[in-house]
Amino acid sequence: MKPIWSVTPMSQYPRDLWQDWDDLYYRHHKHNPMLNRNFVSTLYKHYPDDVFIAVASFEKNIQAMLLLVKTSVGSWVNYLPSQSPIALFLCNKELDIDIQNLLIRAGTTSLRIDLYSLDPQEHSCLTNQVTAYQPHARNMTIQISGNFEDYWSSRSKSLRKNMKQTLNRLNTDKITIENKFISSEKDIENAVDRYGILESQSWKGRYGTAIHPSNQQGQFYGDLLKRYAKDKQALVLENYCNDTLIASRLCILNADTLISLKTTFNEKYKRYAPGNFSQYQLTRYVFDKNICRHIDFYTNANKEKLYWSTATRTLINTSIYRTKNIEKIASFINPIKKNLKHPQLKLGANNGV
Amino acid sequence: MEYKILDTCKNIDTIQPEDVPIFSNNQWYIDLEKSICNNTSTPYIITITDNKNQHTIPMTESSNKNIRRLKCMANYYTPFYKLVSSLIITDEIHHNIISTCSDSLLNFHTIDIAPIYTEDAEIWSKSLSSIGFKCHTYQHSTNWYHDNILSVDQYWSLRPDKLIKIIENKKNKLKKIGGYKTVINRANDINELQIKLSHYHHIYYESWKKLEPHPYFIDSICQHAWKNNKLRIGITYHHDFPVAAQIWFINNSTAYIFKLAHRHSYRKNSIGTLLTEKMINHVIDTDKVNCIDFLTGDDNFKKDWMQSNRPLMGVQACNPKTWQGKVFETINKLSVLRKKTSPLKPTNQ
Repeated sequence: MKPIWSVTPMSQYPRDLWQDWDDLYYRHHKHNPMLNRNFVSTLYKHYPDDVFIAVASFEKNIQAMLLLVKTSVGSWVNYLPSQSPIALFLCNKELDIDIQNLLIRAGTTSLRIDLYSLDPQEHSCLTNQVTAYQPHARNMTIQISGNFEDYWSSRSKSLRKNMKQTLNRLNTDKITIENKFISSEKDIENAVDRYGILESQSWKGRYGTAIHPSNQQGQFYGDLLKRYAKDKQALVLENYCNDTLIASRLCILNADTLISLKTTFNEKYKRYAPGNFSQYQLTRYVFDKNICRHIDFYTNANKEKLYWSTATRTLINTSIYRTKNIEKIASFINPIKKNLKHPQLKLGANNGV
Repeated sequence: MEYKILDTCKNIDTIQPEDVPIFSNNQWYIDLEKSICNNTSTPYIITITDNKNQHTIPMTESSNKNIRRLKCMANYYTPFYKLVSSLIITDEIHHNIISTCSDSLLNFHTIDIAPIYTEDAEIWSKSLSSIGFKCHTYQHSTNWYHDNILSVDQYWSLRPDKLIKIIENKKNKLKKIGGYKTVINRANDINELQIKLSHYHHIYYESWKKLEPHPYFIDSICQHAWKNNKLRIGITYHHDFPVAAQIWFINNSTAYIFKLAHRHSYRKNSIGTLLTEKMINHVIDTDKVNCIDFLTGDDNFKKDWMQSNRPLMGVQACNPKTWQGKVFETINKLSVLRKKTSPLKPTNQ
């Protein structure tokens, strides 16, 4: 039997929302620190919206939870502020999920739902089912097994050569870099502030996209890492040259996975590839201390980044319609609408979302 | 004299006297360039050199719909605009600088210079008029300041009773609540400075003010001022939680009040007012300043703290040899006429 969906505004959720979220999380996603309540509730605190909770239950047992917002008449989209690289969607992977039922339960006018950043590792019950989708990002991971030397010797020649060059350059210039691994609750907020101040000096600061203690993003990351640090699940890696911070990386982790959320570096030191140096030190640290089993980046990796990875997976976007007929009509209308908006695009280029 | 055009303030090599205010030194313009310049506005830096001296006019150029505009490099962070120069600019030097680069300036339809003091507005207006521009001077903003300060006692003796009473009442109230502490210093090292700046930014985020559009500008300029011992940061803590912060700059016996913020949730205790009182006492007592300057803005509360005000002016120079310049000149003339004939709105100039 398929579970039955219910859709309620977040403010009217009949039970303890975060308790339900926690229960489902620990049953099906506890390896992923980004889907736990700390992440989702902090995100909602800093980026509030008219969020609806869709819950799929089977014999009173919750099997799936999804945060949604209405976009236009008849349309829904998963709640996904840009700080979240993954759909805030918990589900039993064995579940025979029925999103059409969600649309029926969401009201008579609900015709379509757009789901962004579905992760095949977490949302296989849905990603295995959909046939029309668009690739969203090519994510990469590093599996932590064996020792760092074995991992490093299995990397591509060019990556090892580049890193060797960086280390030689530092040696030649008599520069010693100190790595600081900050995880205590009392120090983590200052480390996030330092991250923001460094990132704001880069091109991101000029374009207003950097995190900084004076902006919403900075407040979000400060709050987030403080919450994770309480459970010993936050880590900031800082690389210093003398007293100058040259790179910083924000991470959250649990016994299974460390997620590198954000990284930045001092542009004045780009000769020493501080971003790569930081990644090298982080990976070495995780191997040496045997902290967890994977490093996940939740990024859209380019060729250079992929040299570091031991596995990749593609996050996807998809649209699901209430009925096959509505989908057929949409597949006819959407290309026309798109062509009217962007006349340079050819008809038929639409892939669903 | 000869001149060249630079495309970034980073290439300004004009050596300035040490006592030049932070708002007109090279670093200020380097940081400001990052904030102002984008796809529609590019740096246009004119450097004029004679045998011994160098002067630089940091400007930005923007072109849109056939109108070429030059503006002095300034934005809402700028309390007053000055040239970067190795000398004190007299009328004559200013005139020579503008004459030297006149062919470059005349390529533009309009030139905007603001905010500037009245005397600078006159100099700019004369210099630009002498090379053929038609200049329109207007009031841009107001600057409140208090000069001739002799001592803390003398300063407070000149304040209105109302302000003194508020301060006393609020002080007693905070004493009763307990847990408040104010720290004013220059930060002993860069780490301490960064922590203080973080505290300031967190407070600013939760204040009544709009989001800081270019926070790195604040960080960078404060670091620069800190290196030169010109920065004073005051922070009030409530049980070690930062609740109010102020950033001041000290230069040449003048204290400039650059940034004020307090957490909105603490507004009822007037912690901002009490921090201002402490900062004033500190700069008069410790830094021996004889002038306190509230910089830009005609906010009502400033008149209780300051003794005098002066207008901050703007000059718009229009090139009458071009139709675009003529259009702007006509608009300016009509604007003056409208102000003269409007009974409710007094003429600024």
